[in-house]
Amino acid sequence: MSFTQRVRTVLGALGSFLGAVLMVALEEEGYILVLIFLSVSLMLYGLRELIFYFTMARHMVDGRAALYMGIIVLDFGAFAMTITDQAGVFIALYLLGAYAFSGVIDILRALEAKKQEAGSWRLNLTEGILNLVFAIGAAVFGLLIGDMQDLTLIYASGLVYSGILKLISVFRKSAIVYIP
Amino acid sequence: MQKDFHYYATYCAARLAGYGHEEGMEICYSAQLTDWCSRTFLGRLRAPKAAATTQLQLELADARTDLLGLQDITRIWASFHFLPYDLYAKVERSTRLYRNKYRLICKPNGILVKDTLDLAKKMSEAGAAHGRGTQAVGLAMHVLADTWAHSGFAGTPSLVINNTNTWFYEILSGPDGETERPVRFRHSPSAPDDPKKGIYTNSIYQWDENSIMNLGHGRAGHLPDYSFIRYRYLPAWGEYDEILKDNPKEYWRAFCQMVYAMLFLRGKIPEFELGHYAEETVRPWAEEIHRILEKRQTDACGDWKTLGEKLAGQALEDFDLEKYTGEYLGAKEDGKDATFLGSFFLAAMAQKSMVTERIFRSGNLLAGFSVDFTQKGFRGIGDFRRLLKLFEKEGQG
Repeated sequence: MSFTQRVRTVLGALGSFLGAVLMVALEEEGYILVLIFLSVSLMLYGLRELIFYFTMARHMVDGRAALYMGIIVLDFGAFAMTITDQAGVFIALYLLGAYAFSGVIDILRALEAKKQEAGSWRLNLTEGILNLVFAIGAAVFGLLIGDMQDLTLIYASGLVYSGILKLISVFRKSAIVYIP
Repeated sequence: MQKDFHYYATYCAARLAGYGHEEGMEICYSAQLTDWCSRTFLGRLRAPKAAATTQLQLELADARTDLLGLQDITRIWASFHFLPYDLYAKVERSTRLYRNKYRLICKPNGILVKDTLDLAKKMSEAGAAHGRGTQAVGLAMHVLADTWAHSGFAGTPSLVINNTNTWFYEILSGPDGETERPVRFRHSPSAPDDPKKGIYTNSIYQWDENSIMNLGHGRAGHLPDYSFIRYRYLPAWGEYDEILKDNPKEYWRAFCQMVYAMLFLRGKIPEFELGHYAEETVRPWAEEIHRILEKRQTDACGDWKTLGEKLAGQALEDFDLEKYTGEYLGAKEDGKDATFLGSFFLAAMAQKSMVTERIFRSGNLLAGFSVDFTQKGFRGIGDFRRLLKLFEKEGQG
């Protein structure tokens, strides 16, 4: 992991901790704040991918992936912004859906890394599976019990856990292929 | 390329170009040192950090990829390992952002190869005054040889230029003619490449334009460094046109061009011309050289060493990074530039300065800013002041 990646990962971890604190402290308003933050982040990421496509990746073999990713992520972000005035339980379900989705992505990345015999796949797979389990567990628990406070606590603990894993990955030794 | 070509094959080329044994050893030492002269090495010697010609694995792992970090990486890798082919290349309907990266793609016989050789001649003549002319020659041989091996990749982190995908096939020659098999890449720094099974290590896929994983030929692993291999693949920048890389042929060209370049540096040829090769000079050894180049092995040091010893009529010593460090550390401050390593550092700074200036002059800021000392006075990094003094001394002479 390069210095810049480490900084980015630390910021991501701090964002997770902040999200958890906001949710627990502000309850329903906390959900809305986290949703707005997620929505803005997704839209910015989508825009960045689109800019990358139109300025550079359109010349690149397989570069169209940037276009598709940009459109889809931007759409997700815009959709998230439209549900900020919905009932808390819908917002919670959306956030859990996004959380589960990121877990699936982590698992797919880990499987790809395993195929390439990269050493990092175990931690990524663990993170992905636990994210998925957290999200599904919290959704089922929240829907069955119907207690927003418990759902909030489960979701926040998931965020803290995810932040801790990010911090661990920052301090892990990383091996790269050296190019002479 | 690796030690087999940069050290032993460079020695062979130097001998064929007419250099003596001692000079040949100094030239190949300097060529190989270009792969070892990192900031860590320079720091240990308390030598100018601006003379770094490479970055080690640990240095790369911690390298910054912000604007200044990228410029630092580009200065090192574009100057010594991925010499840009055409700094004014045109790409239709492209942004400056893309064009700047595209223009750093390395290929043989670009105008910067001639500039490198002309500079090496100037530096070796300046160094010859105190018996230190071979370091610039060796360094230039490293740069020239790498333009062949690293063709098609750029010395700057870039997904859109340096990425490769699964469309990657090795071409094998056998008794039944040519066959092909898909190259299987893995990301395992500890596992050696296995040419028998066609399994090679490469850098991991990172969807990030400026990731270190997308520096140079990392995504194609060490395949460009093996002289025996022939493969076809889709370069990220090639608009879906395939490239066929025939390393035995290209390494042969690289070897013949090194001999030609060193004939020029010895003053046997008045001007270095691009696209010229000393094939006639090398022809008596052609069969043996082709045999080495085509042998399926990931390290050809043994074979090149045997050929070198045949040419030298004596044993060749192996590369020892510490060989000249004692001399450098023991020299007085004002005498360090006249030592073997001191002369190498000056040659390295001159090359880096020249390439950075050419990139900057083309309107491309990927390698940073360049200031002309002679026109605007000294405004650069302190390390380069000693280079300015050398040029001033030469001007007075």
